[in-house]
Amino acid sequence: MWSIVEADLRLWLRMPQAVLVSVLVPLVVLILPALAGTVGTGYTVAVVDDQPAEIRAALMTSPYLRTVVMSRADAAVAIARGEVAGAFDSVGSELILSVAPYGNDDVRRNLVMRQQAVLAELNVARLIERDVPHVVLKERGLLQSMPTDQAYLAAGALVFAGLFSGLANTAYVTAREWEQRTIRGSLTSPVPVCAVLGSKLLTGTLQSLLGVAVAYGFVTLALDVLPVGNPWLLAAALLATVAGSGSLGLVVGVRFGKTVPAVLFSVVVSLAAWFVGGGFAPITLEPPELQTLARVLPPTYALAAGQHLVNGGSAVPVLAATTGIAALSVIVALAVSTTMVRRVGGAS
Amino acid sequence: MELVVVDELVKVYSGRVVLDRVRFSVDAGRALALLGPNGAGKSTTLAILCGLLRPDAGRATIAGLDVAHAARAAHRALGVVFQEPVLYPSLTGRENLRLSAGLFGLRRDRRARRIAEVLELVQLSDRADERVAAYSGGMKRRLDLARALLHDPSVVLLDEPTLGVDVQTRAVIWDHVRRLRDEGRAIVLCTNYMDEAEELADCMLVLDQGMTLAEGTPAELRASVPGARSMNDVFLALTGRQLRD
Repeated sequence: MWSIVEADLRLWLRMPQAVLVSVLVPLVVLILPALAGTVGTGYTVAVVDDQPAEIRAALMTSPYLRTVVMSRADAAVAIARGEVAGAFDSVGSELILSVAPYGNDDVRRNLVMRQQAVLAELNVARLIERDVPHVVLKERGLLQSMPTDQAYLAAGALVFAGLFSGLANTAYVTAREWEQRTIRGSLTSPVPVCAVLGSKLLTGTLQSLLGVAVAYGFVTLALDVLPVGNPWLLAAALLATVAGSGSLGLVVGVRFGKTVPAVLFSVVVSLAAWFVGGGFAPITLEPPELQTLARVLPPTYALAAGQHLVNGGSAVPVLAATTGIAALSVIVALAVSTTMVRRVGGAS
Repeated sequence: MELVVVDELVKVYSGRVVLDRVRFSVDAGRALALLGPNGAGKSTTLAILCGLLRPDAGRATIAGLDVAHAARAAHRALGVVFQEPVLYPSLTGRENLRLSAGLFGLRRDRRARRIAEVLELVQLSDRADERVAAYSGGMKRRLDLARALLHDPSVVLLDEPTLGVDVQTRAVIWDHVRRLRDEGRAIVLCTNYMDEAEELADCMLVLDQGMTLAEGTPAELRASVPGARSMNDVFLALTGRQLRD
């Protein structure tokens, strides 16, 4: 079995274009978090009507905010439904900013920055009057554990590197055997079919480690997102992600038997699974149908593990789920692809 | 001793019978040529013999081992040269053989020696460390033959081994086939060249549309067609002149 892996790795290293594809596609997706710092403007914010008219008017006329006036109760509902990013309310001299539960540090920073401009104008006016206390900001309802958009996307992109690399590399090394008809050499040897296929999965997994390593370097060095979780657990989660998606790549490679369609299919499937599974935004923001789909997709659990290990949270349950799913995927994929190979022989 | 036995093989694709109760056997030190026009069932027979396809009925054995049920053991006794060489162009000749040695479980101490032996046999020792992509068609054929012989099989299957090679390479491959037969191996040769079959085979089996049309030594087949001046005449008399797709 190791003979096949050794030969495949040698072939891979002698094909610069294959190495480039392994590394470049995850990097392209990693550009998303780099861009995340520039997006997120234009949130709609509720202004509670039951507050001093002076403050309410200042908020509503501010050019820095897009506001909608509503009652305190309606604002709470709108926040819960995610219809507004936050709400401004006042009690005495305190201006209270409440942020939607799905919001994160980016939302908070954005609103605070805009609100401070309003406050500055308001306080200047009050200072002139001299006898009115300053309005100060108090935050409430903020989920401090939520990462920034950039950190969230960085974790998702890191997992995407594992998803895509595992799927595409394994699909490629497997499909190539049928495309070049070299699979017949292995299938007419004493090595069992499942061991031949297992060696393809191992090759794809080993090749993918380069893509994942480059993605990790990009996330930590270029994006300055430092994973807070145990690095060994993160490595284990990414390895399980690669092996799990590689198992699908094995079936894809045998089914297609051609490298180009197999890799294109891998790109589409890994991007779709990444998007639905919460790589781009939390699945709670997705329509209910997609949320249901996400819950049955293995990448969802890999992405959850990645988020917990990069941005904090209880990683062990999702890591256990990811590892278990990956192990099960490998077993099922080997069984399915072995049956497919026995059916078509070396003639696919 | 019968090293290859094909007994009442049947294979059906999408309702079409491509092999219809084909049977033959090959003893040690003998060579059988499988002949037939395109679509006759030659390649399907070889695919079943080397375990790439399962028959719908009948059985095929290599060195007494059923290839459908004891494939791993049967493969140890089997060397296969396919119509297109089973080689990785980006690996060197030696690396290709090293891979094959690993697949057949040759021990490390024996591996290097055996690779050197087969490279010498096919006269590629001096080019062994070049990538196969730089080899000519004939060199690839010879290297593929070396790959098939690496584990010293007792049965060798050859599917069109001289297709598209020059006269010199063809002569070299013929010499190797004769030597293999003389060493006591059983040879099954699938070819479209009648002169090749007549030159190398002790026995010929003519297939068409999955059925056996004739079987016998070259002399017996010639005798069966009165007035035939060559094996080509025998072949055309048996299979007809209609073009096959």
